[in-house]
Amino acid sequence: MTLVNPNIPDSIREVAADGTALRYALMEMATGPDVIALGRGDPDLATPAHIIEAAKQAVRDGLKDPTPVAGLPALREAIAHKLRIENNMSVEAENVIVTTGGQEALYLIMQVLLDPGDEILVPDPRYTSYDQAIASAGGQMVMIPTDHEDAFNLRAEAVEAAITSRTKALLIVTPSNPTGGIVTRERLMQIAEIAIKHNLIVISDEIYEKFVYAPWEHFSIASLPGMAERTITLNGFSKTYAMTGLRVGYVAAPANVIEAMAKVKAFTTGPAATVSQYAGLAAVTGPSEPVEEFKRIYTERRQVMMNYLDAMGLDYSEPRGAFFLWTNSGPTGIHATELSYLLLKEGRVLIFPGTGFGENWGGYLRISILQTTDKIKEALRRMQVVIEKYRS
Amino acid sequence: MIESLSRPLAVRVAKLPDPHTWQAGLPEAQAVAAGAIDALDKGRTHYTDRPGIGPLRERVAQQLNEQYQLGLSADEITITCGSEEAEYVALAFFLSKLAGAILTTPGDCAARVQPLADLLAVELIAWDGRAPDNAAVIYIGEPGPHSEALLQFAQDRGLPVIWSTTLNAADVGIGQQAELRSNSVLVGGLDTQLPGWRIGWLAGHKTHGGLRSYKQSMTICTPSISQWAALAMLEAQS
Repeated sequence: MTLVNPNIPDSIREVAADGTALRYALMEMATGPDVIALGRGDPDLATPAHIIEAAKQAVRDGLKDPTPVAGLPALREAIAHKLRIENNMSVEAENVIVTTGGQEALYLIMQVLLDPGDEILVPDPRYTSYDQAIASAGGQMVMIPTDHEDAFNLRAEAVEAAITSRTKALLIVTPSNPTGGIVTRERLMQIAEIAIKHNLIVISDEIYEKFVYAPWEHFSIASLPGMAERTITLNGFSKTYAMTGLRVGYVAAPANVIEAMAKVKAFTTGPAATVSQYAGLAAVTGPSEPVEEFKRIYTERRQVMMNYLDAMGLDYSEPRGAFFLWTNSGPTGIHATELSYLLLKEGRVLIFPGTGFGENWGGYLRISILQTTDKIKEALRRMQVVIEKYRS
Repeated sequence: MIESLSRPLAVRVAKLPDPHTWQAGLPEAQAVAAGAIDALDKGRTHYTDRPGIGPLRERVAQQLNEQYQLGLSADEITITCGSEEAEYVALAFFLSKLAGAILTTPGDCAARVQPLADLLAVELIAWDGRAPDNAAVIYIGEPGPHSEALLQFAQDRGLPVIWSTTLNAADVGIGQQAELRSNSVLVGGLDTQLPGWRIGWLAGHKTHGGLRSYKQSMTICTPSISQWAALAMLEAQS
């Protein structure tokens, strides 16, 4: 990929081919009080008060000592309960490990799962931290195409077409970062049949599960017959409860996978921070109203953004879940990496280019809804000014 | 799990010891609780900068410079999730660049590093006075005649050195090794004082950007409240 605009600085050019590095380079440039950040997936809403209070109480009670590496027993049990009730999964505490955020869960899963040369199927576009986690374990990522016309759902036939003798696992992300798509129940059932037929492991990243917009619904593949024994479900508290900094996530999987992850985790980071785990416990056992309010707010913002993008004449994939609008910027004639840079430099708006989520996505932007509606409107107004200036 | 996975999974972790129980921490300074509660009240529950909060990095740099005469800036510090993450990241990063073995001092240090070598699927060589051809990274966990010989070996071969202060906080001599400092990383943490809060650090020079990116790929950032609590403790101690 060649960036032709001479104004693109070296700090962006040098990392343009690395999605993760590109996103961080843009974030580092996005300083100053006038920048409107619609980039990173860090909720702008406050962590619910009952979670804050529970963490404070844990500190006051001196609950500071390290937990077993797999996590606080009460938290593991509470997570298992949640997955049984809400996700219809067959899970006990022994099937759960508490991780230092969902990011570490990804890393540990790949470390215990992959031998060098093993192939893992990943939908494209994707959160490029998957690339790093897979590479660190010596695995090979095989991309499965998804497309705009299908709302970036996952096609069973595309999965099956990508399977080779080296395929060990399939990664499913629902709701999807960056596309906001979901894998529907019908498709998950078809995919489950393929996984069983080909004896594949399925990794299901469900970290945005609480934010699926009507009429769509979240569905966990691990709840299907024959899937519990072959599914590793990744989830966490960061996105649902706006507590990204506390670094607490979890994995649900067969017990031997959990035991293996615990053995590795003992040497990578040790147990998750104790106070963070008490915050997680309060989150998963506490009232649902705060999350319902979050969803109401995101639903409103999503509509505002869709209305503005419609008025600007920009097409986007139907945002069925998560925080993002995966927007087709191709008609602007400006490569997404360059457009993101120009939006930041001249418009003081941080939006990630599609190339931050895969090398094939130079015609897309990922725009988050993690600002107030007033800021979203202002950001899109500035965006329009920049596009009109540079449109070719 | 499905049979085709069970045995490889078991083999992969067979050499690793069962997860150990972390020791309870020492009684904490009141400042730790106050720092944590203050951070919670201020809503500091979101991602921090990936290398860690600036004030904590400055404080750690200051402490290390006073202890080891290193001349580090805060930009050369990354806060990690315990010293475990610092050690793992340092080894994994260097071994991703250079194929070969970990060369370390014999005795307790070698015993400590063996599980890491098993996890990373590399050979661990305990220094016995002979220069191995396949050493890729030097790990020094305690001062003494072995460490001096290893430093010389590292300098002769241009190999990176990981200095761990987790075993012995005495002067390990890095401050006097100007030629080596550009290719070294110091790993340490507050494991003894704050084991449940998970605070460690990587301190390095030339390689620091790569180390930081590797850490970010594992955990994004270190727990925010833990960082503010650790800062409060270090400020209270100074």
